[in-house]
This record gives sequence, C-alpha cells and structure tokens, in this order.
Amino acid sequence: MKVFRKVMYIAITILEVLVLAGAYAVNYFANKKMGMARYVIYKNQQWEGRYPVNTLTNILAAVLIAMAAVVILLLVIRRKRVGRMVYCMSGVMVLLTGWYTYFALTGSKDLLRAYYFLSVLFASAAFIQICKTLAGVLVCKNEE
Amino acid sequence: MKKRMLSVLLCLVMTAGVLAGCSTKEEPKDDSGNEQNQTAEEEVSDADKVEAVEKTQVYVAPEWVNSVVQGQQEESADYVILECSWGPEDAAEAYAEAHIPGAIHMNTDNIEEEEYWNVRSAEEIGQLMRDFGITRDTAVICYGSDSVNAADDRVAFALLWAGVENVKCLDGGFETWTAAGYETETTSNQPTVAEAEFGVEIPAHPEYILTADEVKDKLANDDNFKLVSIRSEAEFLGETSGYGYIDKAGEPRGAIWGHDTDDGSYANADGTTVGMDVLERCLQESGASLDNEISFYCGTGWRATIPFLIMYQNGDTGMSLYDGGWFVWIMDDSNEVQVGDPAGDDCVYTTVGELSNDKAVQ
Repeated sequence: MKVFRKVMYIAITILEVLVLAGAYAVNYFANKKMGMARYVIYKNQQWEGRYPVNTLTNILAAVLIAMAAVVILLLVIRRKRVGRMVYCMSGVMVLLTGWYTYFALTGSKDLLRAYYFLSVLFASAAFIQICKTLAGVLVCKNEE
Repeated sequence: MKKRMLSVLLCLVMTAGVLAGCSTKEEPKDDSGNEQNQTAEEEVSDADKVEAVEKTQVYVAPEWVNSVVQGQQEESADYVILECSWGPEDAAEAYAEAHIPGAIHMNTDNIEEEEYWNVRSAEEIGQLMRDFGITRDTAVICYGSDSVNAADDRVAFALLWAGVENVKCLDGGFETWTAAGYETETTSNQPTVAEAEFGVEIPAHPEYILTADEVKDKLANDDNFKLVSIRSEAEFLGETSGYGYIDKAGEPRGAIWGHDTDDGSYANADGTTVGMDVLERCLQESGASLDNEISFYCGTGWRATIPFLIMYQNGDTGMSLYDGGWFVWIMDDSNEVQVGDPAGDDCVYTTVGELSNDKAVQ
C-alpha cells in the first residue's frame, strides 16, 4: 500500500510538472511561431464568443481558494497526525493557488496572447496540488 | 672686326645649343597602354553599373538592391529596406542572424489585424507609414528569407494598396543576397519617423482589395469575374484546410485553381519569381485568362499577393486580392462552398455550416 501511494504520488507530481511545462511551451511558441500565435488567437476569439471567460476565471479562482482553505483547515485539525511531507505539499498548494489567483485576476489576453491557455493550465496544476495535499492530509501519517 | 663677329656668332650658337639641350624632352606617349587602362576602368564601371528599373517593376535582383545601397540609383536618395517576417524584432531570428545593411525589421502583424488577418485600417497603415519613415515617394525594398516565403510580398502589397508608388521585392529573398556575396550586418536598425506627410490619402488603391461581400456579388452577377485560389491542391479539393486553426476545408463556390506558391509553382529553379507566362498557363488550365477580371485569394492573403504582384509589374490593372480568403469565408455559415474538383463529377456544393470541423492540420 505504501509503495502504491508512493507511485501514485510520483505519477501525479510528474503530471503536475508536465502541465506547468506545457504552460511554458504554449507561451513560448505563441510568441515565437506564427502558426501557434494564430492558433492561440483564433481559440481566444472562439472561447470569448462562446463562454463568459472573465466570469469563469473569477469563479474558478474562488473555488480553488475555497478548496485550498478547506485543506489547510483539515491540516490544522490533523496537524499532529501528519508528517513533514504534508506540510511541504501544503506550501506548494498555497503557492500554486496563490499564483493562479494572481495570474487570473491581473492578466488578460491583451497582455499575454496565451492568457486563456495559461489560465487553464495553471488552474489545473493548482487543482492537482490541492487534491494531492488533501490526500496527504487524510492518508499520510506522521511516522516519527 | 671679323674676329669679334665670329666670337658673337659662336656665343649665340653655343647659347642656342645650351638652350636646346636643356629643354624638357617629353617621352613619346604609349597610347596603347593608356587606352588599356581606360578600357579597364570603363569595364569596371560598366560592370558595376546596374541599370535603373521602372517604378512599377516589383521583383528586383540583388545587384539592383546593392546599387541602391551604394548610392548609384535614383532611389538611393529616399529608400527604406524592410526585412519582412512575422513577429517582433526580438523574435525575428533571421533578422538577428544577418540582414541587408540598413534593413529594418517589419513585423507582418504591423500590417495585419488579428481578428481576420486582413490588412489593417487606413488610419493604422497611415501611422505605420509615419513610424517607418515611408511616404508615397519613398522607394521601399521588401525582402523575406527566400522566394517561397510570401511575407515580403504581403507587405509589398499593403504598401501598394496604401499608395507607395515605388515598391520592390528582392527576388528570391535573402538567399539570393547572400549567394551574390554582398555584405550583411547584424546591427539592429530602427526606422526614422517621417517628417513629411504621406502624400496621398490612404488607401490610394482601395480597388486592390475585395471584401467577401463584393466577391459574393461578383460571383453571382459577373460572368467575367474569376476568383482564383492560390492554395495547394489538397486545400482546393477540400481534403485539408491547410491551417492548424481553420477547422473546415473547401473553397468558395465558383472558385478556380491557380496553383500554390508554397510548392514553388511560382518560383523559377534559381529562386526568382516566375513571369506572366507561368501565371497565364495556370489560369488557362482552369479555363480563365487575363481577359477576365481576376481576384486572387488563399487562406489569409499572403500567397495570393504573389500572382497579384506579377500582374502589377506587368502593367495589368483590374486584378485584386480577396483579402479575407478562406478564413473569413467560413465565418458565415450561409456562404456557399464547393468541396472537390469543380471540373469533375463528384464536386459537392453545400454551405459552410454543413462542412465538417475536422479538417484542421494536426
């Protein structure tokens, strides 16, 4: 069971890293390659036409903050039962959630061509971290 | 008395002899040698001398561009060289690696808006002209990386539309410049803002661009009008959209095929641009001719500028560019389209709304 948890942890962390790397790649190529730039701009237009993107961004930020707050509350309640690793995961969770919130509220597609793509990817990374930390709080025990 | 006379005569003779002996002897002229030197100099200057070209000539050789840079042409008094490619200067790797001395980077986004990728408004182009120090009378020399890349043709077209009277494209692109062994530089050059007014209301040639509505009207009501697709055969037949961001494939109903520029159909073996004979042949293949009113189009308006410029420098008028291309055509679900070869039996005629959304390039 321990081995399974470790494997899952590593796999999900790799996924998280890939999501963040993807965000970097999308932004890089959207500024370096015309085909990618036009694709991103075209998708921006489509999404703006179909969805209330600004409202959705704000709602998503609020949801992620709320989820992170719940995880921190659980962490406080179970603080004596969790190991140091969970505290580290919580720290990363706060960082990623805070970063997404800052990015979502201060950015725009006018400032950053791939803004909508990056928003989705950063939110995904934050969500993955929140889930990982929640699992850690609930499952990981302090073995010291 | 006699002795005295003889003495005087002797002195005179001796004086004359001395004077004659001291006079400078000029070496006989070696006429053959000097003529040889003069011929060599003439030959050198004749070899360096590059003939002037007409204002309406668009595609020019690197020798001519070099002669402008060297101050040997009328255009040398007022010219701008534009290295044309997509992206800001810090993303223009080709420009940073090497460019023609004095060349300024022109981001094609400067001449195209981001919604439909059409030529920007008159006000925006006017501001761009000011920012780049270009007036109606400025000779503007555009160049891209090679003969197939149509970035310079796109910029050149926009300049002609605006009203610049002397627009050139380095035939064959930067490749021909470096192949000719001319100097390059890596220094970033910034444009000088124009002090004078542009000289004519922009656009001086609005007739060069057709909108989608105008194209629809002409297709429906003008039998002499030909909408010529400058796209690949696969795009023309509706097998692919040709773009990663365009989901639908096909052509406006009534379009004929004029071959693609990206596959080298409009480039000679040496990279230079083909002449009218090739364009005429392409038109004739599809049952059109130069007697028709022709409007070229492609996906978003780059490739189609090449045959337009070929006709322009040939002195033809009446041709145009359907700037919106396939990209704008598919924005209206009710627009009629054809999928397949219109000369064949299996061509399907339908509307944009009925097309599948899986034809984007992966």
